[in-house]
Amino acid sequence: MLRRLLTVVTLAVLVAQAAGAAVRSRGLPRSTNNDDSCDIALLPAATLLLPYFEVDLTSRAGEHTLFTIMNVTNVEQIAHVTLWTDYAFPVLDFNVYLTGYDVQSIDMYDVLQGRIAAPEGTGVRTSPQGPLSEPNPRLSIGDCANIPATLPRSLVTRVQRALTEGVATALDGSPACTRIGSGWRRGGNAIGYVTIDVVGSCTSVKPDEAAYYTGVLRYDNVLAGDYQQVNSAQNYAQGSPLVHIRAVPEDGGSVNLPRTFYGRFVPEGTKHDRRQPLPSTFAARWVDGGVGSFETAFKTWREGNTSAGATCDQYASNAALQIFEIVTFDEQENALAIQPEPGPVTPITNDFASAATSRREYGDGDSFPEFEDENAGWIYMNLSSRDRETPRQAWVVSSMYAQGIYSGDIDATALGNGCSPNGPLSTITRGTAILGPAGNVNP
Amino acid sequence: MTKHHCCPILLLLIVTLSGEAAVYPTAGPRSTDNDDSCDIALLPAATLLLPYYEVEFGAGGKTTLFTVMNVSHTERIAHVTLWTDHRFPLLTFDLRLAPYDARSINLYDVIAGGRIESCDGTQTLSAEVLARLRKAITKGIIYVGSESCDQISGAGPNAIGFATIDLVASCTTLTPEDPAYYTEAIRFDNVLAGDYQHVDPRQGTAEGSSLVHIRAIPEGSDAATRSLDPRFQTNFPNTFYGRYQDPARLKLDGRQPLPTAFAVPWEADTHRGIATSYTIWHEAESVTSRRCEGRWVNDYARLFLTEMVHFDAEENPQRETVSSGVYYPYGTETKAAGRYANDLLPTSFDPRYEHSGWVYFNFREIHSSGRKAQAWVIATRSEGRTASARDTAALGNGCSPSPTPSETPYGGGALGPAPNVNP
Repeated sequence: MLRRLLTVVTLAVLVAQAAGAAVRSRGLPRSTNNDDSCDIALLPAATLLLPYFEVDLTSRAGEHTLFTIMNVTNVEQIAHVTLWTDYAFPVLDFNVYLTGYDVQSIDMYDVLQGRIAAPEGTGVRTSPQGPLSEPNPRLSIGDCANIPATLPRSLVTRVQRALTEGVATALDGSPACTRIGSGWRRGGNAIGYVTIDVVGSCTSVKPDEAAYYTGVLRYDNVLAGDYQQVNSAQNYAQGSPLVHIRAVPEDGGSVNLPRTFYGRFVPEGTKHDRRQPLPSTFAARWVDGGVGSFETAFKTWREGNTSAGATCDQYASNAALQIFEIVTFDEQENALAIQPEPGPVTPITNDFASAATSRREYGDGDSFPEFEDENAGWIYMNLSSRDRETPRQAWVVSSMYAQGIYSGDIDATALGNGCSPNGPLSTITRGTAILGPAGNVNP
Repeated sequence: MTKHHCCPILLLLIVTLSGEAAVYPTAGPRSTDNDDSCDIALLPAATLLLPYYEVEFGAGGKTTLFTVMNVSHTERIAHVTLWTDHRFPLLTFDLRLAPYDARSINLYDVIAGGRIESCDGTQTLSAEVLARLRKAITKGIIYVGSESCDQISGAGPNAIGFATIDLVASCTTLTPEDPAYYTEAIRFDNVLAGDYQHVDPRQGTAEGSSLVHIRAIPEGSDAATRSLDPRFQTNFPNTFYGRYQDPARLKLDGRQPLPTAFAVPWEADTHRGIATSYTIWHEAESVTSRRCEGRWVNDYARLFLTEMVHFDAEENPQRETVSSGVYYPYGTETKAAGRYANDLLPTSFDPRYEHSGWVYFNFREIHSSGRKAQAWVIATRSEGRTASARDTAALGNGCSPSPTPSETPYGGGALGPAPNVNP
């Protein structure tokens, strides 16, 4: 009897396994569901990334960045906004209370002058409630009653210095740090990036703290948004959607993503943030000169090295993140790349490194392999680093402008999703891989 | 004793059999592979959509430029179809793309200058053909054989429409309207990428974004093989080119469908000169069901919406629906590809006082087929002499069912993102 039963069981298991295989043999996609892939798409998300901001603190007519957050659900939400320096140092965070179907525009010039909301403030008590806006029983909104509209002067000074001088003064228990941004060597405009997360309460816990992932972060894909970088004095405006990073799965359960967006801040292997990882390889178009006198800069966000609890001196490791491979193509399909010396592959020079966020000009002579006399083409960027096994996440925006009149930001096409593994160098750089889209099936 | 062994074994069986079901929703994503979802993402694709173009015939006027990149190591052919705003396939040409090629096309050169790319290099259209092309655009009239087809375009002074760029196996004169396109011409390799720019020299503005990247899923092989091999079955409920295919052999294109509901930010401030315009591509339905040489012509195709809701910055909603569930915004004659300024804002919103908010668009299903309507929406913010365009967030992927009208007085659910699991 037992033998017969075992046989039945074995057969049943084999049938079940075969059924699973049969599902795959019946075509793709395996799932047509929402929030069930590793692809970064323009769909409501649990985290939004503004990959690069730049603000001239001396004039609103100068370079500045605005972004908008929308809550596309009927229930209230809390968005936790964190400003990071270009060395990925979290320098300021605040909460935005969003009623159902709310939209909030945030002008980074105002924020960096200490104004984070309208004079009457925001929060549960003061935010208008639309007739379709409803409470969200999953939130703890006790601390959101009255979010301040302005920041203390001492904090504003600290933030400004961090973003323009790379120096953070000691304040309210936060230690003094130097070289936490590139301002120490360049001066000028405030530069950095912003993350916006759905959270469960109005909190001062930041994404670089472990507690953020155990008691603060939420997983509802409900936010959408975009940004603009404006320079009124030069007549330039560029805009694009924020990077929409979804929590997958949204409703809980185990995470099948091989890594996550905030993976470096959570205990290894836990993937507590459940956020989709960003890709590492991109195809970005460039134009340089020609009839329209176009120029191209690349706004590039890259995953830093620092993890939760990083000390001041560790942020310098995010200043020059090594780049795995860059190949520039012109319109005749000629390729330029750094050719390692014959023999064992040697790392490419640090000339092709960049900070956690940066805006670099094609044609600046330092940042990319350049053609002397060609006007257009595209660049293959593998923004992983050879000093780590897992791909380094990134996002690339081609920012084109001309004649003091025309400008536009265009997100670069990723050549695989964030779950694709690191590949070898391409044959163009004396490696073994054929440069192109990642394989359909990730090993 | 034997019985005691049964239970763990049976339990094991139950666990094993339920394992497949337990994968979702308690774990996700179901697949981390590339080219294995219904999500429209900025990844190499088999079809690129330029949702809107506009070209003035006079020199120094508005034009649209687009660039197509082949990001693979082998030669490819991209088949470009220029459609009018009434969804009439006006002109096709091929781009032979070398490995890692990037090709930029200025549509002024094509439409006004008659210079088109082909597999044999650049060609110039004859003056006669160019005149017919211009008449088709400005008068809406074209001769197909001996038959005169009218209302094939909005018949304005400028050329307005949209473009599709498909990966094909060989240079062809077929258009996506031809059934043979899906059995002979089209290919399924996700290797194209691209972007576009609208330039208005008089206004001194330029705005651009990525082309819409529509992937073939599953990827690869050819039409004949795919129709026989179950591994190449497309699991989408419908596809981007589904409307052009034999109902008995739908989904031969294997292209991802586009979404149907969008959340679009708007900003308007008359004091500061800020305005928002929407560029909308949608799968317009023919109202009059006219035919021209076997082609359906979408004359007077209007903006069919199940629902449009404007929210201001204080979350006050302004609905724009009628009881039939079909909305004609202010009588605007809206095309398959069109651009709309603040005239889409509800009249109750005064841009002197209401400065920002967002709009919910839910496009109506194609009535004749029952298929959900596909769409793409771009918001352009202008301020003085600056303008910037950006794609807007869809509220579900192209496989989500069409949302029903929301809440009262229509009795639907709350307006918001599509559920994770599509029914």
